Amino acid sequence: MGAGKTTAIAAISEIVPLSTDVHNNDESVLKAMTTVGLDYGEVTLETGEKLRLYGTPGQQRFDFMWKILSKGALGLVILIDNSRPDPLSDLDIYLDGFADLIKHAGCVVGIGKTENNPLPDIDSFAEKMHAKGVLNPVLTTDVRDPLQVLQLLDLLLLQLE
Amino acid sequence: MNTDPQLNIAAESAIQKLIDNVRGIKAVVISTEDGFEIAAWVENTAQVSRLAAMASSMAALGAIAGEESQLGTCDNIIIEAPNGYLVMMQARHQKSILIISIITNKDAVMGQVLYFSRQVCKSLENFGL
Repeated sequence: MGAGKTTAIAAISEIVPLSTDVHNNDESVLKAMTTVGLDYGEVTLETGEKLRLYGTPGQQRFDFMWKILSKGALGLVILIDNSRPDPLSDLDIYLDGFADLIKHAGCVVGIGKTENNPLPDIDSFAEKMHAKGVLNPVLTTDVRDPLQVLQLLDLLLLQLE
Repeated sequence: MNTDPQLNIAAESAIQKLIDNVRGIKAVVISTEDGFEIAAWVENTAQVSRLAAMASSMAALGAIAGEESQLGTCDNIIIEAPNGYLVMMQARHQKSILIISIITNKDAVMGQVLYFSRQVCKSLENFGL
């Protein structure tokens, strides 16, 4: 939660993204709004194909949306907020919550807010993924930058070729 | 999450009014728009926190579906299932939006559910004003 899923989709979507953000009452996270349903955006690939982007709520109490949005998905981008108290445990929650999708589809992990929060470093995340048998790319990212969001999607699509 | 204790009392009293007046009622949850339970009553051991989160998602999806269809905001959602109904209604208070979720069995009369749900909605919307 707070890693920038809504921001990432808004950064690259060619249509005005659909958003289901509402007022955030969770005092453990300093942000005004939070996604409770889904985000939706579209981006056209070089091949002319249209990629549909769905963002999910990050909080575990919304894990029923994870299952709904996993159906028919080509791949998964997990965004981690490195300023949160325990980013490695956050990754664990998503690796477990999306285990079925990760097994059958592509996956990329993007670690955000690392400028002021360099730890845990990329190696720690990679080790965590390896320990769970997930051999997918992990990199730092700034989802406010459209090029960096597209780079995440490129890494995802490479796995599908 | 901290809520105004007076709001919790108002929510408890809203729930009691529904229990006393709605036939076939099985559960009521009053939650924030981002899915935190404020008050609840369940006849069995249904997962209240899960229903609060689902109500939040459904209301938000209802809102964009209504707006995209140029119908305006979503006032309520009714789910009819083989064994009963689920009604979710939004109470738009000045300070926060609350969602009232009511689960009934098939003995319920939809008009009655909606009538009393709207009454408690109004009382929550006017809370503290």
